[in-house]
Amino acid sequence: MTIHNLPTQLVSRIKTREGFIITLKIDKKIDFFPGQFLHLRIDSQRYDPLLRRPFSIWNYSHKNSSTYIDVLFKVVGRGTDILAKEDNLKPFVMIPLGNKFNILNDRSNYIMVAGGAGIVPFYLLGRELVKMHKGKVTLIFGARNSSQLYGLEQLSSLGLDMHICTDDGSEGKKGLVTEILDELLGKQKTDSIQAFSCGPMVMLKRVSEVCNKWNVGCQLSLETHMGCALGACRACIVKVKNKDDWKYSRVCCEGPNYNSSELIWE
Amino acid sequence: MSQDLSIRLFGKAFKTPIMVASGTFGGIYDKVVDLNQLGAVVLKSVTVNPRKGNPPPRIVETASGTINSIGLENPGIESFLSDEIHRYLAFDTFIIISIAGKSPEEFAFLAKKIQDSDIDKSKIAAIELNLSCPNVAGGLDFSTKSDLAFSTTKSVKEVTKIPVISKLSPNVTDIVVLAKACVDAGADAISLINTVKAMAVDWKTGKSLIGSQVGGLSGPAIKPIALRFVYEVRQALPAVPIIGIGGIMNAHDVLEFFSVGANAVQIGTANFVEADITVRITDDLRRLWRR
Ligand SMILES: Cc1cc2nc3c(=O)[nH]c(=O)nc-3n(C[C@H](O)[C@H](O)[C@H](O)COP(=O)(O)OP(=O)(O)OC[C@H]3O[C@@H](n4cnc5c(N)ncnc54)[C@H](O)[C@@H]3O)c2cc1C
Ligand SMILES: Cc1cc2nc3c(=O)[nH]c(=O)nc-3n(C[C@H](O)[C@H](O)[C@H](O)COP(=O)(O)O)c2cc1C
Ligand code: FES
Repeated sequence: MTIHNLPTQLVSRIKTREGFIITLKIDKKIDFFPGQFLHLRIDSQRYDPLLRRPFSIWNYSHKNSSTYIDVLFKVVGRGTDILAKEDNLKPFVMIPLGNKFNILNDRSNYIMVAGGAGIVPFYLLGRELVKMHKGKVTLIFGARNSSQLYGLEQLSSLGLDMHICTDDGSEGKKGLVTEILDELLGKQKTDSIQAFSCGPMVMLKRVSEVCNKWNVGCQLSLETHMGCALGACRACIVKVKNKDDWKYSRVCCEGPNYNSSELIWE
Repeated sequence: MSQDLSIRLFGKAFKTPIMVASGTFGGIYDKVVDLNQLGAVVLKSVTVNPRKGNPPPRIVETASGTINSIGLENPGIESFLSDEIHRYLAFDTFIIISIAGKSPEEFAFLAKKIQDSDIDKSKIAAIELNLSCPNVAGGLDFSTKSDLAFSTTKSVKEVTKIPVISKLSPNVTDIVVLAKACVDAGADAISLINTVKAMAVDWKTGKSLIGSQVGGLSGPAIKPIALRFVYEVRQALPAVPIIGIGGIMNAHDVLEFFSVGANAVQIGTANFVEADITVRITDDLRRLWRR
């Protein structure tokens, strides 16, 4: 598959809780699979910040011969701060990048577990799973507090079975996504379930432990710091099993989605 | 209209003086960039045995640059020659193979492997000796010891007919001594600079932002340093071919390197900013370069 590096037009920016959704227009028709990401050069008019920033695809649509890509992000540091407040940016995107979620067609129930900005890949995935019309698609979405439940309004139109929680109880249930996951898995036949998760590393580790306990296969979408996002620099690595040994795998081109059974937790 | 950018270096005709630097290109770049437009592709340094590399985080952004500490992750020379290199042999572009050893003997072993392999040598413009990787423990300190730079370059020259480029580190007091040692040993060209030893910390945790504590700074931040080094080597060695490296982001930067004596350039970190930046720079150079 060809990878494109294209100029974009920043056509809109809206707030979603404490986060933002920006829409980037490109003059080419491009499709994405759920789980893929883009590498964004925040402003092609300057070299500071220097590196590109990786973001998942929240949503996309086509109009005439253009693609409108929605990126949902939270402000972390300098790059996202510029994206959140400056006008007249001329961003470039490199698309599409990374592998897709591997949806197991023989399952009848799917559970997505998201923490904070880890929600982003699950809009497209949720929509895709619902479109497949195969039983229940559940989303467990947690955050520190209600202001970090990014995109919740947009998600409610997808027809998902939603379970919301926050650490401080400011919205939804007070508690952790893994507690809800454990409870839900305990209540049903687990061999028909496939799980997906994205969020902080500590959460992903706990999610894979809970999935292990109930013998449910789980795919994790990882975030690591990137240089090139094209498999060359080997900056973005994560430890994976390699027969009796281990090796580093490049999240940008061998990931970002891994079966939890492939990973080595430190 | 279309100005010819071709150059000759150590008896070989390069389409352009623009090459990509070791460690910053490869992977699936060929899905974004037309490799045929490059002067040469310098591949990631290869070692005798496979290396897993350093623990993460391996890259951090700093003011106008990045610090990296990859630790020479590579599949080892056997797998490199039987597998990895073939992806690049398919293009109509010169390949430069970068090698890194822990001793002059290891460098010679690697060069001989390449020389004795059945890959098409007409595609291999040179072997570049990574005499400077600051991220690997256990190796001899080639970067600062001119006797080691000399014996390494010489032992490689003895086992191969492929031209040899000695790549130098900026983490030295006197670059000229090192450059001279390499040229005396028979180096066909000098390339410089590799990354500048550096560090970034998070004061909230008190910890380094790089897994192996210190790493190498690259990008626009090091261009003035690189220009100074190229200038000094050119002053001391009027005839040796020099490949300038360090912080090049556009055609003006390339011309600055030419002004201080470089015959060609390599582009590294800029490939992370725009994957096809080398092609854009080449186009601009066609407009701007007055030979
Ligand atoms: C595959 C992938 C998909 C992602 N999708 C999203 C998304 O949809 N929405 C969202 O809000 N965030 C997402 N992230 C995280 C996002 O890339 C970082 O929040 C962002 O790079 C921070 O940039 P900054 O300049 O604001 O922060 P700074 O801390 O100033 O950035 C400094 C450097 O660290 C890197 N960095 C910092 N945090 C992260 C991180 N968590 N992951 C990777 N690199 C980081 C930056 O890219 C930059 O190179 C994703 C990360 C990856 C790897
Ligand atoms: C991620 C990364 C990996 C690198 N790996 C190597 C390497 O394997 N061998 C080598 O000789 N130089 C390596 N370098 C150094 C570059 O080839 C180049 O000398 C340096 O980055 C300065 O150029 P720049 O400022 O254009 O990046 C690496 C640089 C970076 C950023
Ligand atoms: S970011 Fe360069 S290899 Fe993944």
